[in-house]
Amino acid sequence: MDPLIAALILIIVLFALLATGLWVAISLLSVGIIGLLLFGDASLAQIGARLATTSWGASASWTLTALPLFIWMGEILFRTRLSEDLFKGLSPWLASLPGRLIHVNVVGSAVFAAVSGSSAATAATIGKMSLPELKKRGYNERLSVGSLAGSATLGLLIPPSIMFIVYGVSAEVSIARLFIAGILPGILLVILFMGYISIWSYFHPQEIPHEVTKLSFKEKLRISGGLIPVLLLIFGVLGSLYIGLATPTEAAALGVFGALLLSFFSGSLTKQTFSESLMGATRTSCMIGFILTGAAFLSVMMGFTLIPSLLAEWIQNFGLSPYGLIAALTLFFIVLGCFLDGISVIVLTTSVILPMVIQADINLLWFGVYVVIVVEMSQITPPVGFNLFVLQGLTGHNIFYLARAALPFFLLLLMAIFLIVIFPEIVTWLPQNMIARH
Amino acid sequence: MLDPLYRACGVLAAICLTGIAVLILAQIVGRLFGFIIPSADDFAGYLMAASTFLALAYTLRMGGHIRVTMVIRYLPQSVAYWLEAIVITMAAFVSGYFAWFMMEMVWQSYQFGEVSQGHVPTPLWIPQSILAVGLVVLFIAFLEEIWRIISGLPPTYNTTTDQND
Repeated sequence: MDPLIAALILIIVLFALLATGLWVAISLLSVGIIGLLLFGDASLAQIGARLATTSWGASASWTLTALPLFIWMGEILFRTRLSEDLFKGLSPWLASLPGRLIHVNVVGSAVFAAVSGSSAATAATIGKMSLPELKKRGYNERLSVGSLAGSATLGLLIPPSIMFIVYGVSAEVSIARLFIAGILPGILLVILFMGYISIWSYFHPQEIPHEVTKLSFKEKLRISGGLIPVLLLIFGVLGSLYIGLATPTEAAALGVFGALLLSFFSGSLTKQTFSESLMGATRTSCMIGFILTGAAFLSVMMGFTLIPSLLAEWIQNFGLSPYGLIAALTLFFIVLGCFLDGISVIVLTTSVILPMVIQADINLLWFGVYVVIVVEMSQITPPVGFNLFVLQGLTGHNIFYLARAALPFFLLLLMAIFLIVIFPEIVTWLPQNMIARH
Repeated sequence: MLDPLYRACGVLAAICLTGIAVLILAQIVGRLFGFIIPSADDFAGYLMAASTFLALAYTLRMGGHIRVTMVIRYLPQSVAYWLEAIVITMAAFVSGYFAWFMMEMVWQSYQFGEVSQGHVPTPLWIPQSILAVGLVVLFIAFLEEIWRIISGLPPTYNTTTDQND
């Protein structure tokens, strides 16, 4: 059979299964089984044996252990007083910028993103304190909600990042390098977001209330003292990675330990918060681990049918430049991201699209950062956008109002992609200068 | 009905997760004081696999596995009921199939006496059988959902919305 038709059939089957509401991991497994039955010339028993060995190999992985640990670290910190500390500690420094406390959403998200790998957790943590405060003080609601939706996506890009672990494990790219590669693009986004907020506020001064309290430098420092432990934690985790003192797994274990200490000394560590954070982390890492198992099996099937490499050849026949390919992929990912969650987008990318990317001679480290930024965009596009769901819970606004509010930030993310395409050094410079420990 | 079973497996999975953290931390401490924990990386990997698979049914029950509910939510109730029934049946088939062949792999590892390559040669059927247990429990959980939908009870996995992304 023509491999393109085979690819088309499998893609239709996959999307049909996903649309019925079959769990993502089980959809991936089913398509793997169906594909091998139809095009792999294998019996059900052979496929089953393959399925078992593949999932054992994919799940009993030391590299993967960074995943549950970083998730746990974020779950612990989510249950501390960190959201209050961040709001109080950052406000005095940001109140004099045009846009004032709106910037707390951006900087707060960036800081929390540096201890958590999830964008929904970032939105929830920052939003539960900042949104009511901003509303009470009379800030423009659309800007405050939109800026939070946008900046919380930094949770995926600023290390530690669950998405980088998923990409790194399935594309076989060093997770430590991916983490470090995410730092500068993360800072770039912070600058873009803050710049936009400042400019908007400059032209709409009536939408931004005055903040009256004037504090001396010393008082500001004293108020921000509460942030020291979390900053230490960030530098401990990322620093040890950068100078090659720890592997991502070790950095994650240290992060869990540090988060437990922080939570203990701030008085929020109880039997209940401990077990809630642990069970929450167990569920999330199980969900992701199961999807990764499904994706690993899907990749085996794809390898058998040669679809990815034939697809790559097919694309090559169009004679697209790497820029053209990235432009086409971006469009494709934006549409896909409207309906699928980020993890599914990444595992589908690595099992189907990667050979195409390799053939176009695109650096896989750079591509990882690119994909994660695209996935960030998918967090704030309706109808399926996880940050929008979180904000819906926090504000009661409907998805489409929230998506409209987040639209400028969506465009800024697109601009960031444009910038890393033109200046790939934004991604590659830091990892080139790090010492990776294996 | 079988909630204690799922819950117990979930707690075991959480213990495995804690085990990973303890093992890695012990390894770091060991490096500082000059002792090594043999095959720590292998064991961390086994714990990872065990944690993932043991938690499968528990995570399902808590609504933790993601799925696309966009279509099913907008369908008329009677159509949604049938679609849900088909989805659960398919999930039961896939998980049963998966569980069966995982057990077969465990059996073969046992028969051929396969051991790991590291410092501590571990018989592989031991960590592998935990995966099989997790899959069997997941299969049971899906069977229970089939039974619920036949008796006209609502599914149990929709009670919480997932925000883990």
